[in-house]
Amino acid sequence: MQRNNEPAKDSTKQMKEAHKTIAEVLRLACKSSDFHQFSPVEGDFPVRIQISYFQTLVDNLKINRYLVSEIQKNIKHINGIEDMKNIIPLEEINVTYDAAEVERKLIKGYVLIQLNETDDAFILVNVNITERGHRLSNDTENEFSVVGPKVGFVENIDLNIHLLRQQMAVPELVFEEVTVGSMSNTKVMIVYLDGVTNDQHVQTARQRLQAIDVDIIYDSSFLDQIISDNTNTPFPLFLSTERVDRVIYAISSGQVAVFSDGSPYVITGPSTFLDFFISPEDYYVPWIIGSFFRIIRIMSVFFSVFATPLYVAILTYHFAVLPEALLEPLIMSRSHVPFPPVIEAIFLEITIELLREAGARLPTKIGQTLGIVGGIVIGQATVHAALTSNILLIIVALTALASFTTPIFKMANTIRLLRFPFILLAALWGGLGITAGFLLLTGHLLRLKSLGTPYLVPIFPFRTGNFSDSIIRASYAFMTSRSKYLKPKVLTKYQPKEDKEDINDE
Amino acid sequence: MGKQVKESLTVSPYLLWTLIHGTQMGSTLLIFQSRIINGAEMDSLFSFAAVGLSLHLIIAMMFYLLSHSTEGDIISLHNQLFGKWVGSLMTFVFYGYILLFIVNELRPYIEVIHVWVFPYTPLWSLSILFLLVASYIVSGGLRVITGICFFCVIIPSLLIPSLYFPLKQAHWTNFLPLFNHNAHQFAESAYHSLTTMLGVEFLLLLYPFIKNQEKSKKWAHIAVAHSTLIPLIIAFVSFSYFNIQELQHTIWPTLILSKIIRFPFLERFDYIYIFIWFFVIISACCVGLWGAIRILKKTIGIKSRPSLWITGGLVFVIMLPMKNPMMIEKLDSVLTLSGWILLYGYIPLLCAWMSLRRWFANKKSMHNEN
Repeated sequence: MQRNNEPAKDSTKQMKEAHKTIAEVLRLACKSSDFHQFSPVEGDFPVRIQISYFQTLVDNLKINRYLVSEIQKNIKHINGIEDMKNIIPLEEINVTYDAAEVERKLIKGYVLIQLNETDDAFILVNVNITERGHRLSNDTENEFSVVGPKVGFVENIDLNIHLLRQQMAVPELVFEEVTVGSMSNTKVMIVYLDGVTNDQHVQTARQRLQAIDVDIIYDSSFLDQIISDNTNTPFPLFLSTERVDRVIYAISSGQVAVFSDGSPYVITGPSTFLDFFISPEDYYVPWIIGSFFRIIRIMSVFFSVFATPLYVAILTYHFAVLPEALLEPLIMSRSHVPFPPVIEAIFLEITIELLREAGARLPTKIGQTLGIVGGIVIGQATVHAALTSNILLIIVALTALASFTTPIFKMANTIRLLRFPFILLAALWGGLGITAGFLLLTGHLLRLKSLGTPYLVPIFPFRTGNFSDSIIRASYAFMTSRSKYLKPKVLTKYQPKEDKEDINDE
Repeated sequence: MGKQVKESLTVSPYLLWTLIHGTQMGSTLLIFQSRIINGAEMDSLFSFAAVGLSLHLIIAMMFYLLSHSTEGDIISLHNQLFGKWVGSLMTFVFYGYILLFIVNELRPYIEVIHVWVFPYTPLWSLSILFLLVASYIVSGGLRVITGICFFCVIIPSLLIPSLYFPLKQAHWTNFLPLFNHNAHQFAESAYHSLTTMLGVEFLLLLYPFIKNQEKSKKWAHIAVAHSTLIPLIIAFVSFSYFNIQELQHTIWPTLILSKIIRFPFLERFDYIYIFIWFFVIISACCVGLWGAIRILKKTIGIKSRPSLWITGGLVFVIMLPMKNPMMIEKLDSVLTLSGWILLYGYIPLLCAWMSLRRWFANKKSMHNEN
């Protein structure tokens, strides 16, 4: 599905809810056993007070210590809504006349205070407890780095925002809230740097998020799929990460980040193809080493996609390509294998996929054992049983290893998937099939866009002056400006002092 | 100016370089040496260079024509000069020429595949493979085609350093004596040179899709110069490697050249040449298909997707009966002739007509003012 930036549709949902009365709202809530309703004071006072809330969503301490006790202490002075507002020592107190809003807020952990039941004004006090049931810290286990911070995002959006604000202490960092999901009412935040990020990116992200019509948001990767420019692609069009430093880098270079409550992953866009091969560690080591490993990572992508198909193509059709010295060990290792190369290759590739998938589903401790059993025992046994050749085993193991060097999990998956069509094409048309596959892949990548920005930029459309942080990671003295293809409003990030040593100074 | 399509559909002017260069380079690059030696033999390098130079003049004429047409392409130009009916007819002749152009890219390449790699794969299955790949790319629009052309410029140019290996065996005396042919022989070589450089005529359709049209002129000329230089280098190396009698009996000199390259892990470098040539032909096919679609869309008003299938189907049908390798020679001679008529006959004629019309129109308006 290709998408255009269609304007958000008006939802008719809110119109329907407007007709509910407060009695209906409370009747529905009373069906749940965790819904509490009581009067804090009994007797003859100017007002009758009723407090209602979902017990599981609120902080009981706050209600008992501040709300109830203050009301009981000052009950003689309470004559109306205004007095009530003045005595409650909590920060977020709203007055509303809308029953539908009461319903929405109750379920988010607000307390409803009614004066004289018949009144149509309601007080809503925020006493929700967001920390309950959430972990408070996350080591970045899935995107590990040896050097650099290890704190990752958690499921609680307020904590995530706190983590971000701690590192970027400028008021220009803007958090825009959008509520998504007709049933989950998930808090989704669009984060960008005001005055740097191009308005067009923010506008597109906002428009697409507002246009979403879905019941429950389980994770930010769910949002990622809904708002992506093209849904019929194996490639991830937004980068999703649990690392704080990665998100900060993306925002500071003029990208937009989207936080979703309940998800430790943050999506950033517009992303380009090369972004997925960048590891934060590249920036924490000297630029020569960082660049070296980045090049290794990009090369390993090519190796991982093309090595097995090349084996299949050469052994099926083009054995003339190999010199005699190399052909001999190949023939030796394959002499007892009864299958054509393509069956052999697909068999081994699927074995590796099984190992990976089983390892990911099992608990960590069992997973390690499985790796040893699967990798060594099955590998050795298949070669001994003459089901595959030794050389293919080496190639497949190496390609699996190479595909794990990609720092972003989603992209690593895509790369592993890409191998299979290439193996089939190689089996059908040999080298010609691989070339055809490469052309189709390039044609596919060229038509992808992320938030309206071409996916392959800066390689195509070719943009000079954006290569200091792409295939290589240049020294910080040369990474002074943001990437031009993101169209940031301010191009320079920082200006290093020019005090280079001259050869004559010695 | 009103000669551009919507801003969002246009491409940067420098991409005209890759588009035109990508269209010009094609499967003939594998065979052209044994064709151009008909006539001036080793001196045909000069004829080739002369044709390349004269193409700059033709490009300049095209730019003149396009800048004075109503919508900036040959379809509107035909309608403007000949009226609706005759104009559409002329556009359809151009459509036929494009079909021929695509077939001339695909059929010789399939012949290479048949002889060198897969002798038993039927013609139709290979044609379907190529046409499907091209159709997928074309269905992504001009931006995707431009991208493919961009990669197709880079990848084959990486093969140029591989010519170092045959140069180690060069016989420099092959070129001597220089200039021992008469004008007629030079002309014959020049006549055979043109097919290698055909593809510039797609400027007539691409022009409205270029962003900054004034700047794009430079890039079109760079494209033609680039496409003249690369065959010249290849021809130069092959002339120094083969002698003239060998060349006369070699069908694919470029491939034979690459056969002497050997690495410890690679015995037959020619396979790499053959498969990488897929990139070279696909860019020309894609631009060709795109141009054909554009013509169908603007003259009859068929939507893009059906016209892609129609054009692809027509190419397939034309290719099916061409089982005999002799047909390739015939195809080439037909295309050479039509290329000469189009570029060196028709376009100068249109140019003359256009300038006459403008001269008369000017005179008329001057007269009216007086």
